[in-house]
Amino acid sequence: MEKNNLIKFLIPLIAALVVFESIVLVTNLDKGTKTNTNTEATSSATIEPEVTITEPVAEMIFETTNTDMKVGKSYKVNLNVVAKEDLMIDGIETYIKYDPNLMTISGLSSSNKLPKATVSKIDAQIGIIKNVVLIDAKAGYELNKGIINSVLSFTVTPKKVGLASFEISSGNTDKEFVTMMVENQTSKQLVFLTNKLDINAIK
Amino acid sequence: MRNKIILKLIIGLVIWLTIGTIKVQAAVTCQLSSYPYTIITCNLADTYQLCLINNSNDCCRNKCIQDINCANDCIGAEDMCYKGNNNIGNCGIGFCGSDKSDCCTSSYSNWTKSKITCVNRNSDILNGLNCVPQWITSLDCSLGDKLKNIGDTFLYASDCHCSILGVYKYCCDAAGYPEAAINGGFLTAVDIYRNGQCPGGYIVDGNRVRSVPCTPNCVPTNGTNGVCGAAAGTMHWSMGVGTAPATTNLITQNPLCADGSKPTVNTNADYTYTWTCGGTAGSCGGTTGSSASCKAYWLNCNDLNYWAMYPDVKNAGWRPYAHYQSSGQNEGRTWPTSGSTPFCFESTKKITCGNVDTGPNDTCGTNKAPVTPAPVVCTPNSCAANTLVGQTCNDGCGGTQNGTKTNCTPNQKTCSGNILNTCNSMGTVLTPTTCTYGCSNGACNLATAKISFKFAFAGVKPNASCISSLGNLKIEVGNSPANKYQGGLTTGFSVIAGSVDSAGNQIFKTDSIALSNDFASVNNNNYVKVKGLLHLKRRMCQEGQLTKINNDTTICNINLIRTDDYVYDFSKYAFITTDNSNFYGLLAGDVNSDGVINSIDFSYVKSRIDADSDITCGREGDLNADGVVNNLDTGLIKIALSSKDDE
Repeated sequence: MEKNNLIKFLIPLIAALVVFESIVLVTNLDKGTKTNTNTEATSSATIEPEVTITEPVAEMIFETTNTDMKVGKSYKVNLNVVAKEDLMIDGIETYIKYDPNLMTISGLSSSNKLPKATVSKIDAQIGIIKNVVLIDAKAGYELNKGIINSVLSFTVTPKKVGLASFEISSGNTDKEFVTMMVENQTSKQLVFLTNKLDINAIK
Repeated sequence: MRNKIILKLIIGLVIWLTIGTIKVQAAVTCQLSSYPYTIITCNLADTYQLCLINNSNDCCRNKCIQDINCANDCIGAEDMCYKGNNNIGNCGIGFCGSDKSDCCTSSYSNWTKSKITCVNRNSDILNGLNCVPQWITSLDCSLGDKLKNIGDTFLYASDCHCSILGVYKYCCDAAGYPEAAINGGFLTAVDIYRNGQCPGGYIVDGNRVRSVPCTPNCVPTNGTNGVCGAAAGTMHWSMGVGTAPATTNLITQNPLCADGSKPTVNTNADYTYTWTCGGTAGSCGGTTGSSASCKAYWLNCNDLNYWAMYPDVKNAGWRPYAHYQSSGQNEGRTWPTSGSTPFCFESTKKITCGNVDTGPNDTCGTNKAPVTPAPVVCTPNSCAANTLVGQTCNDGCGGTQNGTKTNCTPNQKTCSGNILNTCNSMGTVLTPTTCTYGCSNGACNLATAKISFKFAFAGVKPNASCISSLGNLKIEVGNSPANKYQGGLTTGFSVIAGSVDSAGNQIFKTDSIALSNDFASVNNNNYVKVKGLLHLKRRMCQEGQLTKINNDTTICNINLIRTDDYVYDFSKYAFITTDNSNFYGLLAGDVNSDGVINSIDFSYVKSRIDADSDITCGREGDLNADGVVNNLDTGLIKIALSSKDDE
């Protein structure tokens, strides 16, 4: 009898404890996240709260099979764009900076899915790959959400051993070279993410 | 006993649940792996996954980012601010300072650069930092000009990794000679090269700061622009009759040039000797003195006596015997006879000797004293009677006369056509001066700076319906050597009937645009920047200019003070396209007036295409002024895209 009474007492007690701990656990997880955020905000002295962040609607991504490249050998690099939502664009102007002392660029080719490029040129003197595609169609060109769209491709041949990189030019050093995607409806630049392609030239 | 065991189990359960909670909180981390596809290894709740960071649909990435509050990634590329450059983007137009807040100010701090970066990097995630986009001001490396060695007369370009990218600026002094750059010191310990600046500034202007090595603004010419020293005439000579002295014996006390250098001595066939001083760095263009005033004549005493007898010959610069032979004897002048005539010498001391002179130096010999020329008698109140050049007549003619007496009002200035006549203080001499820009009210007119020119707009044909609705031109004028600039000018223009360029574009003309008086006294190295309402700004620098030219190496030839109403021809200007064909006229397409033609302009014009509409002047996007927006207008932008920005 005494044994039964103890069990009758313990089962609800343990159940209550499990429920209580579960509540505590979930609550602490939330608190932990919030605390973490506050700590980071406090420790980041350089944050300037007045900056307004516009949500990017696409990403411009370099693609290559290998970032370790042998000097003298040629490697193909693609530049793709992936929309985060369905977009209609009137043009893609692409300017890619590189160091002409470290590598040779050749075979610049626009995607055959896009209209023929108005400008497609490798300027080895200043180290800029230029590619401008304008869409004549009234409605523009559709970039579907999540679909990888090829913009251009080119061939890289490293000249020297060492690190080199390709970077999408934002026009900070020369307003002539602003990489942009222009929206059909608004005739304004779209905000997009981009990245830098670092390559390691080896023997 | 059993109750105690159960109680311990309960306490143990509570402790276990508490520790478990802490453990789960600490398990949220992400890691960055290889490139180009950034791979995140999620270590969340002891579950490992691999995923592509650039795939927005990837559940792992979303999960990782969500768990560490990466709600946003970095937008675009780094947004930098460079010293001395105009900035775009978040900074707006302005200059760079030491932090972001300075980016849009009109001033900048010396030797600083500001690299404002929008950061949300995967490396931050690795280091446990907040990956919310944020602005970071970097001061650990300067993008300013670099000075490698103190004393260098040039500067290197720098990149954001503090390395140098090669010479690109040359410091020059006012005369165009290389000049040491100013050492700005190291910015920080990681900045391995010094910052530097030219003493003449930091912006390449083709004058004190050049993109090509310095060369003198003008080259000194030996004996032409040189300056003779004051020592001329203090010579000691010792030579026999008819023998040309050896050069080494000519000068025992060397005359020196004004800058202390030794002059070049020239021995001439007629026994005259001249010495010339070459200009040196910095003295280029000096006009003080010339080799003529340093001329030494090797004369005998008969020569000197002839001069003494006929001072007009001497003052007119004649060699005595040469004058006697050519004209003196025909004029009834006599040659002195003095028997043996050892040499004496005339230098700039202008010593005249008697009949016999044996002295070896610049004074007359021991047997003879210097002879003072007899004064010449003037005829009172008649300068005409005085034919002696340079003689002073105290008879009322006043001062030094040249044999002409003119009655005029003392100090009065009068105009006669383009001639300004100035009467001297005695009312006896009227000195004429030719005025280049005309004479009026007793003074020469000042030059008036102005310009007229012809030009064409790309795509605008003579029959364009809206050719009169093209707006005004914006004009800027500058002179780099004189550092003169005038902007903000606007002007209308008119059609030159029947005149088209090589592409059939209508040629227009501006008419005598009045400029600031600052340009009334500059040389011809002027440029004119021309911008249409919807067009890129183009820099015109030469008459008949064909295309864009190098600003640093080209000398302009635009004369802003011409008096003949000349119309410069800029209508031949063409943009050379990527396939090497010419595209004539000012490039059209900058519809938002940001100084660049790009996809935004294209999209804007395209959005206004309505090819079937009625012709209406003033339509937005109508680049060729035909009153309709159609593919011809977008076509103009496509061509202009290869040129793009303002000059």
